[in-house]
Amino acid sequence: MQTEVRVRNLVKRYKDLVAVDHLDLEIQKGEIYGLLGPNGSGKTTLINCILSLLRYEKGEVEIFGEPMRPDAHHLKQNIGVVSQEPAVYDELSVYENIDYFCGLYVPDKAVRRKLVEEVIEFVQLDEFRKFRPKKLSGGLLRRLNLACGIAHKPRLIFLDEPTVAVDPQSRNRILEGILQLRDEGSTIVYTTHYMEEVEFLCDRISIMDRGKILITGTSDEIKAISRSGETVRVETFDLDESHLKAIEALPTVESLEYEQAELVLKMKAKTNGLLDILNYFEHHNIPMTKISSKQPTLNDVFLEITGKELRDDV
Amino acid sequence: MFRHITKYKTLALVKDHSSLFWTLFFPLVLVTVFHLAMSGMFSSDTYRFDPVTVAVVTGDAKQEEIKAFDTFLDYVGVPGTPDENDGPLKVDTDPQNAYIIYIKAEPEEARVLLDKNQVYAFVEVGETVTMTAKNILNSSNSLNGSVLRSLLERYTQIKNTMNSIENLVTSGAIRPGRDFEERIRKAFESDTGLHEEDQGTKKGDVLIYFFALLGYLSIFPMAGSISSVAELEANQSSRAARSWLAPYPMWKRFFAEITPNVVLYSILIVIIYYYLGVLGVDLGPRTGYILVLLLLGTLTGIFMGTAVGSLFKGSTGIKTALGIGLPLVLGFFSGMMASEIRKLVKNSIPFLQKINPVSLVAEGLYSLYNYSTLDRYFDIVIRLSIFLVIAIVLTIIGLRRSNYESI
Ligand SMILES: Nc1ncnc2c1ncn2[C@@H]1O[C@H](COP(=O)(O)OP(=O)(O)OP(=O)(O)O)[C@@H](O)[C@H]1O
Ligand SMILES: [Mg+2]
Repeated sequence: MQTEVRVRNLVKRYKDLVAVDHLDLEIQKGEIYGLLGPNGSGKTTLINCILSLLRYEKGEVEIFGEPMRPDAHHLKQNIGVVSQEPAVYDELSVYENIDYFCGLYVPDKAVRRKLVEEVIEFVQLDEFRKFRPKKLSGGLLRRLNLACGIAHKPRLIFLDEPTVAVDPQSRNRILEGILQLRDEGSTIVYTTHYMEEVEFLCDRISIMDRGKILITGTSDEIKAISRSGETVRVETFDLDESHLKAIEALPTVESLEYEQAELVLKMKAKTNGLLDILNYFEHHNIPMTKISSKQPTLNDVFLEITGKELRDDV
Repeated sequence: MFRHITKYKTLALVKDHSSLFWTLFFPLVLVTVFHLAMSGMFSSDTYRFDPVTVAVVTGDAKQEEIKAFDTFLDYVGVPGTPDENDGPLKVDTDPQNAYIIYIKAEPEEARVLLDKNQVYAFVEVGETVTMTAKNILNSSNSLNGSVLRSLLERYTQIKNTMNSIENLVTSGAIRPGRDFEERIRKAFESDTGLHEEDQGTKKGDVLIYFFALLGYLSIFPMAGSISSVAELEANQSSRAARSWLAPYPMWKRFFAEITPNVVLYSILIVIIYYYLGVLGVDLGPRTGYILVLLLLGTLTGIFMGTAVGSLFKGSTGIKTALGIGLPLVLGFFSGMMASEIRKLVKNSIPFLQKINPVSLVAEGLYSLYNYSTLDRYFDIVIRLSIFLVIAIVLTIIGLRRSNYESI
């Protein structure tokens, strides 16, 4: 396994604020690596430090096995970056924008024309090629931004929250595109605070908070580390103290809450608690109107580790 | 790469209609408005300084003195004839560059002409040249008096010099080269001896506005190049961050970025110069020197912008405001809004005039217009070049950082 990016002991401060805090990471060739963290956790700062765009106080960054520096142009040649904020020229059309940014990497006109056509196809902006960015919807603009960053077919691609404020259609298109890029051999670093995206997309995930990586692994590995298991919800009207006590005493139950006829049970990790609950209700003949079970998510893990939600809107 | 960036930057410039308006039409509109505002002045007396009317009495002066004075008159004046209705002297030809209109007269005639105000003064040629005027203290005419007086002083001075030389020649100390008159002519051609202020009032007053305006329009590209720097410095725009990531050194990107500006604004200032010509504002015949000065000023303006853009922290908005405002302020101090300001600055804060690039361009144009020698012009060109070099050095310092503390 080849390591495309290696970061050791990276520290970046903005005055008093430590935005990246003694951080280590390794990104392997051919993987989609997800950086999951809430707003302000330091994802963008980390990427900009890796790219040498930002000065940092301490640490080392290697890309393709070589130290990354601001003037490492031969490394830059093989990197593509899609920034969080769309960075395109309002005066230029979709086609011209892509051609412009691609031309910074690919001087040959004929080669470039082919690449630009391919990427327009890829992000499905064909019918908008003559449009100015101002005329594009938010989602289309994101797709253009994506196209500008990857048209030159880079070996290593950084995508910084490319799906924020994007309609589901564009979002799916972008996510599929990213899988396709990986399948074509690119290594991808993907930041987001949407856990569904990283679960769907990423081969490996790091959860980041306050400039630190808290945990790294596949989605399943991370969930497995969690102490909490599934969450079971039961709608029922006839529960008295004694029942609650008895349920809480069940070996698979971690904790419970009963409020307004809804019983919410946190089950212990790696147990099949739903069955226990069903049995209990059956055995005591307690009627219930609804029962559901939810496997733990990365958000639960995050909540567990940091005590806060990944997203404000979860 | 260079051509690629330049091509798209030019395209972006041309397609950006509002900035195109600022860069192209605004200067032309400004010139037009200036012209309209000043055209009143052009036709008025302040601009077309009336030559001083003079009666010349040769009386019993020596032949060579009359001859010498004739040469002098030839150079500084045109002959006139008395007006039938007892108005001031008339001329048949257009007294374009003449300082005086003269008529040869007997002493009595001259006295009558003066009494009837047909001439401003009469001059008696002799061993010494005397001048008689009626209302020398009358303020509306005092300018006439000082122009005439300084012309005559200059004449006397040159004549005395020539006399001394002639004495040396007759005594055999030196051998004469050419004619005496020819020498006088030469002496006058190099310097009429008029003080700058006198002459300035003659031709330059309204032109000072245009000199300052051209100075302003040379420095005007500052705002444009401040925005160009925002496309280079990754901490100033997300687009710049994106192009920072491209595999090219800053200086290459800088030249690719700035070249369209240099070309566009150079063409613009040349257009403005010729447009002024079309409007009938005559800046004098030295087109080549004028254009060199204007182009040098334009380069200075562009690099002042890149220096400000790369050195100063703060938002692009604030810097662009500075890029628009600073040339206006410098223009103001050069007399663009009120020509008295120019004199005021010149007299009370001469230092400011010497380092104000708008003033430098304006003064350069002024000196080209008013002085036959180029010493002052070259002096100004050198000073402006120093200014340009400083701006370039500051730009290099500003752009030298390779990465950013914060973006
Ligand atoms: N230029 C800056 N100056 C000072 N502080 C900054 C600057 N940029 C970011 N920060 C701070 O550094 C921390 C990390 O910011 P960063 O933008 O890297 O987070 P992020 O994970 O990318 O957030 P988001 O999901 O909102 O994009 C935040 O607390 C932020 O306020
Ligand atoms: Mg971010």
